[in-house]
Amino acid sequence: MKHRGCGKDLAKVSEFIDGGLPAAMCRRIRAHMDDCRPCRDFVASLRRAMALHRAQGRAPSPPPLAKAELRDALRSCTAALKKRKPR
Amino acid sequence: MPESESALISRSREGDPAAFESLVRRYEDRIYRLAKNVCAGAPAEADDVYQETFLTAFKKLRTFRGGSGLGTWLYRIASNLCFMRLRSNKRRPFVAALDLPSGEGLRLPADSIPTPEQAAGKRELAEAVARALKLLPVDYRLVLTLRDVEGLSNEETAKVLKVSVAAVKSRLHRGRLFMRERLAALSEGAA
Repeated sequence: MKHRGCGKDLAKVSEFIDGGLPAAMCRRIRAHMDDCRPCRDFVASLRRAMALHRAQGRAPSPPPLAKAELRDALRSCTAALKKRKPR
Repeated sequence: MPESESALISRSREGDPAAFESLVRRYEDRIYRLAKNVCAGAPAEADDVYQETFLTAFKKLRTFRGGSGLGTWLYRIASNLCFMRLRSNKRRPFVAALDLPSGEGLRLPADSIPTPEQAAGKRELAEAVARALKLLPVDYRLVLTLRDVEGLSNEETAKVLKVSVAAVKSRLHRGRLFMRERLAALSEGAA
């Protein structure tokens, strides 16, 4: 469903969600959404997608093997640097 | 009282491995999370980016000026490594749908102990997010992850990626629209 006149607000919807717009513009967008169901639904679905990405993006800590390999590699680097240092 | 970051950096520069280990512990979850998200669906790449980030930082710590914060510097190293590893996808074109669909069909999982069906649903959602991210160019994945997962500001994200704030805002907006479109469509398709 396409709505004429909504495009301008749509271009600002990310900043609106982040609270990065001036207060007057936020009021105008809110007033528009009060009267425009598709825009309201659109913003709601965008918020849901962002929340889903955030929730799924919370990866656990690095796997133990990757951690152990990093520590081994750092130990090797330290040893190599010590060898190179002039006495 | 935990040792200050600047003291740990100084000791690390002097070759104290325990100090650098403390810095790794402070930042490794964040760096791994960024790598995991940006290297969507390629866990081996994510592990490599995580490890290489700290090895590079260890070797180049003397060049770190301290102006932008260690976290920003580490994010920058990790971002550059992601670019290098995934650059074949960098120029993949994509179009974010800019019409106004109904927004129905996307549901978040409940925060309770999942049944096997719910667990499978969560896994499917995780896979759907990874698939959607994978379709985005790397610079969009980086902006989306730094902003929406890591919680950096537009200004901090711009500093990490060495781009303008306007470029961050533009990629964030288009990336979010793309994710919304992909995730809503997948959810509707499964219904």
